[in-house]
Amino acid sequence: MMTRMSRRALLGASALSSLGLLFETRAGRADAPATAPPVLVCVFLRGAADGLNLVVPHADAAYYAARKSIAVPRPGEPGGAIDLDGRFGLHPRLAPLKAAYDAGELALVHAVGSPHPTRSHFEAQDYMETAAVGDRSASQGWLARYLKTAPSGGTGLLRAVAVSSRSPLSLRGYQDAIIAPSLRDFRLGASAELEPVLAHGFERLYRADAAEISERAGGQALGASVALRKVLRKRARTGYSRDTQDFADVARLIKAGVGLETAWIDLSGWDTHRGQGSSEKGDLPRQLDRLGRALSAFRADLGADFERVVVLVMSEFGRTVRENGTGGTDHGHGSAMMVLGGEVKGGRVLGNFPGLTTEHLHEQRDLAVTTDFRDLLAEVCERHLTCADATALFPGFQLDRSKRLGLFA
Amino acid sequence: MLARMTFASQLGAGKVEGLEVPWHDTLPTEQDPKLLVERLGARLLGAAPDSATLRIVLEELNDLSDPKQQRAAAVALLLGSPEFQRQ
Repeated sequence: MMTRMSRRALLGASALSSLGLLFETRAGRADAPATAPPVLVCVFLRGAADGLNLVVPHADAAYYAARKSIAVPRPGEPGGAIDLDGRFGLHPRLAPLKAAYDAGELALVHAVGSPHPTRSHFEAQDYMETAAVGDRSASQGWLARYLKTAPSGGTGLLRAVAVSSRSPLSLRGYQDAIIAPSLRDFRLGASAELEPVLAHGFERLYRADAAEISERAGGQALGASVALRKVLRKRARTGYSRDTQDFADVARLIKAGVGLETAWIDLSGWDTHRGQGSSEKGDLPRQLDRLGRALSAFRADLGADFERVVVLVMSEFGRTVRENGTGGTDHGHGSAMMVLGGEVKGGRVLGNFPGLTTEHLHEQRDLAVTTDFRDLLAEVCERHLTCADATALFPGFQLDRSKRLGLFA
Repeated sequence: MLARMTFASQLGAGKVEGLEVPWHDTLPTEQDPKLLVERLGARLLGAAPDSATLRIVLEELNDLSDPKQQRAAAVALLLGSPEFQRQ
């Protein structure tokens, strides 16, 4: 009979070896960034983030006319936006990202979104995650379609993870995605005394290479939990805080070279109907502060691996141009997206910003959408990921590559 | 799948919040692990004593000496097993 420790060690070793996972130190794989797969990290701001205060159109007088108390002041004024190009500025709480912009690694896209006019969070999120705009019956997510069709360079065990309290629709249809509110929670929950026995027992009962799908899924889940624990055991680079740990965990997976190709991080709390705030106080500055710190730490943490990573920050729609009576904004239409990565041709605000005077607004109240989010996603999939033709990822959408934003060199 | 296994583990250990399973009444602890596994296997899976699942579960119980822990582990492994999923 084996000792408990030897069983635990055996579980780790057998699960990993059967799945072909190899964990090497960074020092031992100097060629990792060149050979490891490209990674897409999607950060979804749930609740409809106010793109007009993320990327502030400070040269547009209509912006200030519509937002008496929540507008971000012009650059140079107290609490003012951080000027980017004379027309737009970053919210001051996103200051940690200015270095990435200046380094040409951050592109901002304005007036982007879904062409569907819905102002329902759930409906708009569904459309954005299935990328089947207007089709309520769509059951697969666009990331799932990508993962099912793209060739995998690795074992497939940790190709896709999601840090979310729910199962993101974007990954629905790809059964091997690892989804948990925190990646550290993706483990067998049992007492310390029973855990090694149960883990070993389940590993014997479920085989990752089994023919039956449920048996195989169980084996893969167990193997993934072992792999995750091994990677996340390593100490995180400093620079993260407690509220940005999810980004630290994803960075560890990327740096560990375990074959991660897509990561999805849900950030909630962007539905700022009241108390949205301007530069310093309020819900939006607080949210942006977290986002800016997280992305900045993530970029610094990745080091050379940042070259193979693109971070896409998106939200289901934007918010009304005019502030409401409770110091906030209501559900709108067009918004802004961020594209961050080592190979991004950044340092630019992209997209066709139509202006905020009434005649240019969607339904006379919202920022119009001039860039369909699917055009942006397709460009990322085809230029950054390993997708030769993204047409199949976006059902019913006619890709027009002439509309590309030029996100990559 | 991992959530199912975790639920089975917590159910076997009586750790599911708001749910009290009177294991003591329905499945008394046994001094003989083989008898315990055969009884549980018959009740939970309708499994024959010589099934592969029961054999694996029994082997795993060898690492535990406390009959209550053995029962909790057996319940967890049987309810979380692929054989139970199939049924």
